Amino acid sequence: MTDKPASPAPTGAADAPPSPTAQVSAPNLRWMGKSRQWGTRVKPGKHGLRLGDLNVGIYGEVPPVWTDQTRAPRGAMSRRGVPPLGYAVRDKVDLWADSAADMYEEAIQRRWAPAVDIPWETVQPLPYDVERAICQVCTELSQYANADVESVTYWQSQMAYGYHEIKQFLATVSFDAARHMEVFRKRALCNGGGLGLEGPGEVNRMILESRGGWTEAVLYLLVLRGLFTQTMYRYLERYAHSDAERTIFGRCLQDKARHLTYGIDHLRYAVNHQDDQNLILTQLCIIGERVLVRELKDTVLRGALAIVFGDGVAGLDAGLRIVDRMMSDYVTRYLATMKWLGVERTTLFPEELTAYLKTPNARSAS
Amino acid sequence: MSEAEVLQQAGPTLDLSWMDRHGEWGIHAAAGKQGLTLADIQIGSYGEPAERSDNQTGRPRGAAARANAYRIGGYAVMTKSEIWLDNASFLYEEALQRQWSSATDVPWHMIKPLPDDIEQAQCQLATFFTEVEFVAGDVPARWIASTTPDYFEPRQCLLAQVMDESRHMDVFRKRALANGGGLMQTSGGTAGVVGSIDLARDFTEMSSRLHISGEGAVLTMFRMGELMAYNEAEKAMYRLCAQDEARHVAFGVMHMRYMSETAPQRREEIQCYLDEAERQILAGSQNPAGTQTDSSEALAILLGGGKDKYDEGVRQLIAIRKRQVQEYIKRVRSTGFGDRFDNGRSQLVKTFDHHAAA
Amino acid sequence: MTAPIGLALLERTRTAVNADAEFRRLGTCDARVGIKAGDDAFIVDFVAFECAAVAAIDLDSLRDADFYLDLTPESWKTYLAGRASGTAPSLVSLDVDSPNGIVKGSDPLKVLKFERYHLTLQSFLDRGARLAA
Repeated sequence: MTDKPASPAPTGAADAPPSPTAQVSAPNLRWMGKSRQWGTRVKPGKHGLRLGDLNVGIYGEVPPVWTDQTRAPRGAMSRRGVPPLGYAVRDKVDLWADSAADMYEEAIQRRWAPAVDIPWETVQPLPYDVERAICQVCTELSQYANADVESVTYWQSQMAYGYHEIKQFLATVSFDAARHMEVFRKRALCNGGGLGLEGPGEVNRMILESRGGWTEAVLYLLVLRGLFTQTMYRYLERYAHSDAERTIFGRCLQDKARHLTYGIDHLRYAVNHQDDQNLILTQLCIIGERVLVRELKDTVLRGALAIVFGDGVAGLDAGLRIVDRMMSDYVTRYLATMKWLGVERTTLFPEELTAYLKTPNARSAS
Repeated sequence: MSEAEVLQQAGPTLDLSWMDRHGEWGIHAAAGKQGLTLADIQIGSYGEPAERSDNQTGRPRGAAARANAYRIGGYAVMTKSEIWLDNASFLYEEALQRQWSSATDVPWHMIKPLPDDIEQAQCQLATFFTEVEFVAGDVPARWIASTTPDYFEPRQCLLAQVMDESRHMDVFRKRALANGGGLMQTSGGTAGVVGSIDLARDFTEMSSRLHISGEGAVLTMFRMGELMAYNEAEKAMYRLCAQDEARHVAFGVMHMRYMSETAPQRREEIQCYLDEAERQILAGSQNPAGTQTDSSEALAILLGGGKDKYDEGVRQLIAIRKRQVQEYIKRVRSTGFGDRFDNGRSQLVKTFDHHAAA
Repeated sequence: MTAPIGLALLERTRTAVNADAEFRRLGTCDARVGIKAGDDAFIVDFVAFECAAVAAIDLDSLRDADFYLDLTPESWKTYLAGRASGTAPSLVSLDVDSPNGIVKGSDPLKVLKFERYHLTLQSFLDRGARLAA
């Protein structure tokens, strides 16, 4: 399918060069010697030669605002008079996370391909109710992943190149999301089932309509909903019906953990470097939590999860108790994360979410 | 009574009527020799999408729709012919299988100090390539976000491209900083001037400039990496980048071919895009093998073997430009738009001959 | 009879995984993982593609770990035996099932390393389980 080379790489002579007597204009060589920092020699270490290793001297100076509106690589000599490109996200506080460079490399190292890295042959026929439920869960998770793809690619293309580490890490996030969309679709279509009912979509819409900037999108996409997805992946791994499912959710869990790490790391950076950012985040949380609560009132995903966890409709009640426990894990982790970030969540925290902390099977705070 | 109704009667604590609402049921996609691929799940109604998408909620193609689902809508690309290509699923799966790490798959330890003029030339070229890959990373990302998920196969390919370009940005930055050199001057040729890749307002327009023309020219360069490389690290770098770039070009070619076969009403429009691509890319500053640019001078130094062998390098460069044009022509012919080279519409060959003689 | 979790077993496991190409293929792992077994504690350092070091530490030093896995000595023994025989759940499942979880830590970013690297950690402990059996 790919464009194969027409022939092996030629020598110059084999490719019919023009006459040796053809006149060649003298070069101007103005570019020679033009470097902000020459003599840089970064050597590979145990991890190989990583992106973060390149941040030496001027190449590692990440300014608080990137004023260059072109595609000049950080540390390169700019060219005067180049028309601007209009990158909207140009302040470090609006996107930075110290961990991004290393996680970019980690994402590449820990890559997987759903086609071959999932033991699909271990998927066995299941009772209709369980298969239907799994397919429903996969349908909604695939739709979540689609929102990830659309949100991340939209924002990534708006970010200035002074913060290339972030753009590159986000390329891995959208690639991970593509893989998740794909793997959940594959699971739904490989075992006698099919896709289920689409999700309600209110949280997806909130994520995609984040008008307050990338930080707002991070809060909703990667933390508020990201932690929810992460918690689901943990429980779906636990209650998997085959090695294939166990592997799917185990792999997705790894990817999501990187996304969450970036999200939390970025929010921490934003809170630490911008006055009142924690107050803004509190307001955004109040709004976002309400949207999440409305979406959680939809019984489809709850029912599907309960059937998966309870191993069928007959185990629905037991399954619902596990769902409640899952939700209490989610709320506990979410509140602990917000507290660690310095984002107050005692005011106007939805009672519907607090209720999960009081369920009989809720864990005690550790 | 449906199975769902039976089950609902068995489980009274929650409304389970959703179990009756689903897409086509009874699908048994089976893994083949290459595992369970996207092509393997293109079965029944989950296979090829409709010519026009009405999906405004971001639901997976083939999922049952809800009347009260929130619209996320706003997709600019809602018709299949705007973005489709046959065999996108194969390209995507190949991309997944052929991912590589610039940190560990390039033998950086094999780079040894080079003469100053050669090192400067490598660093200037690396600076240029880093900058050019920025375009190829940003632009597909914008189009992904505005394409309906009903056409997820081409979207997946573009997502793989964004990942590939990210890796290219980083590998050339690494080369520039690995051997006693540094980043040099930017070209400025990737800025938003009229007719550039950034400003395309139609996907096919963008693809003609990016995939067919721009990346095609760069692919020729990468394939000639043996000529520009002075060590195994550089050879590996160009070889791995060429592999990725070939997929991006293939995407453009297959999309254009699909357009040729299914959208005759857009033929003249697409020919105009190719007119513009030929003017802007192959003759302009975004081509490292173009005339009298910093990167072309750097390339001539690398090809010749030093500043003192510049003339020989230029002769090799002209041969490379000729090859770029030949490959571009071959590529466009394969898409079904090759009549432009036979009816005098394309000024390309004439322009190239004129510049080569200058 | 399964050997208890201890420094000797962890050292043998370290040697074994570092010689295993499959372990390397899981990708890079950079984490300082604590293991608590009652009153005993250990640190297992993962750097890049290897298990770089293991050491016995005092309980207070567990705070220097990114996170630690907390089971009683008997539970560790049962877990390792179960993994060797293919009957025990994954670490993720164990963490889900345990009343207070087995993954402990105070910094959410560092605790996330458990989930980022759980496949590597699982592979390490599974190798240890086979050696302990």
